[in-house]
Amino acid sequence: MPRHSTPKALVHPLIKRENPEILSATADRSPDALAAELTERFWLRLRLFAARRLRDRNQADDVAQETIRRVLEALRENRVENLDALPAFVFQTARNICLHHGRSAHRETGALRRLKSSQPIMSSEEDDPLTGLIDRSRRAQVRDALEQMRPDDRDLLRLLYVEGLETAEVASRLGIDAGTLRVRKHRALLRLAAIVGGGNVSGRAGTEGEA
Amino acid sequence: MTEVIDCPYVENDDLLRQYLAGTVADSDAEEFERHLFACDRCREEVEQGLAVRAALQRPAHGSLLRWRFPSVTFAAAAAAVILVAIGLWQMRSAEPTVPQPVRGSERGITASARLANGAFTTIWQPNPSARQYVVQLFTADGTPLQSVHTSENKATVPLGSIPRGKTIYWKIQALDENGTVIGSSELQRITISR
Ligand SMILES: [Zn+2]
Repeated sequence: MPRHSTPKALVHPLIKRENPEILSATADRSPDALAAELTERFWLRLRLFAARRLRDRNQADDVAQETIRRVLEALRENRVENLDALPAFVFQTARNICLHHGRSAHRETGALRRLKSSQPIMSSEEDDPLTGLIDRSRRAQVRDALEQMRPDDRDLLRLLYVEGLETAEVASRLGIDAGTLRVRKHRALLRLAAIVGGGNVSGRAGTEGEA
Repeated sequence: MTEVIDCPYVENDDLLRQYLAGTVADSDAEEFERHLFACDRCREEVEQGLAVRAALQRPAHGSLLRWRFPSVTFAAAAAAVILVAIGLWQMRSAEPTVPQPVRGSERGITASARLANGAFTTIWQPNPSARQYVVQLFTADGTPLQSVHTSENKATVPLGSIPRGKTIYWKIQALDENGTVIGSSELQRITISR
């Protein structure tokens, strides 16, 4: 990442104009607030990204945290030249950390430390590192919500997300066309979000891990 | 906040679900992730789909105690060991009807081990509630070497080609009839003498 030393005065208006939702940024936001915004926006993405590669929830959390830390540092030092490309910058930072993670001695001692501590690392589905990111209380909450839904909505979601069937297959099973299926899927997800509350069914940043 | 970007996965959402299911090729998964970092629509669906998947998914019966050596990376192999070695009670706890052990209630297992005739031999205090035990050997970086399941309170594990002078780590876990870990020894080390 080339170091870029744009004066702060030039950076802030740019940040405000092009990324108002996240980086209103270092001047009028505390570092904590900026970190919170970055975390809100990228936490789940980073954990998914890292969990798929490392197949370990704790390591995924480590990678997510380290990525946020480095991105914050880069923002504070004005090293992010094009803020439109912030998602790509975060992505690349996480990618580098994961690559390094695979080689580092730190990871090795981490693995041992975790063996020693007997902490459960991933959930049940050993082939499914991503769902391992969703903790038990959240699973229970969503399961309850699904039970309150209309059976046809629930079945639709199950066929799509649990059975993992392709759109064409589900549509043909239900005797509808793909467009109708998409509409029904969208509505079912909205209903689910409404029952769970807050429109966020998989937990906010930092609350997804086991207590 | 909604990032308005051109999303190719609105019409073709099969890939999103294949991503969640882990059935998509690495290169496609990475391409999707690159998009996911920028697209709030996909993030939302991934978030919801993942939660639905986790909520309705059944534990992977029958393969709970199998070692896995994913080809992806060394890190993945190490992570898989940890997953199998330690995540057992949690596997079961995803099933609401199975009693969930309280963490910290696991009983310690006192065990001793020695190396002789090219094999690792260990013996431990039996746990009355245990149906079987798992003996696990790791290298210093957490890579699995061997695992043995037994209903006895002792086991011998051939070391094969492990070089002399190497330190290996070992651990015994007691499992109940559900495959839940109900007891565990400390992680201990032993060095193969030169
Ligand atoms: Zn998208």
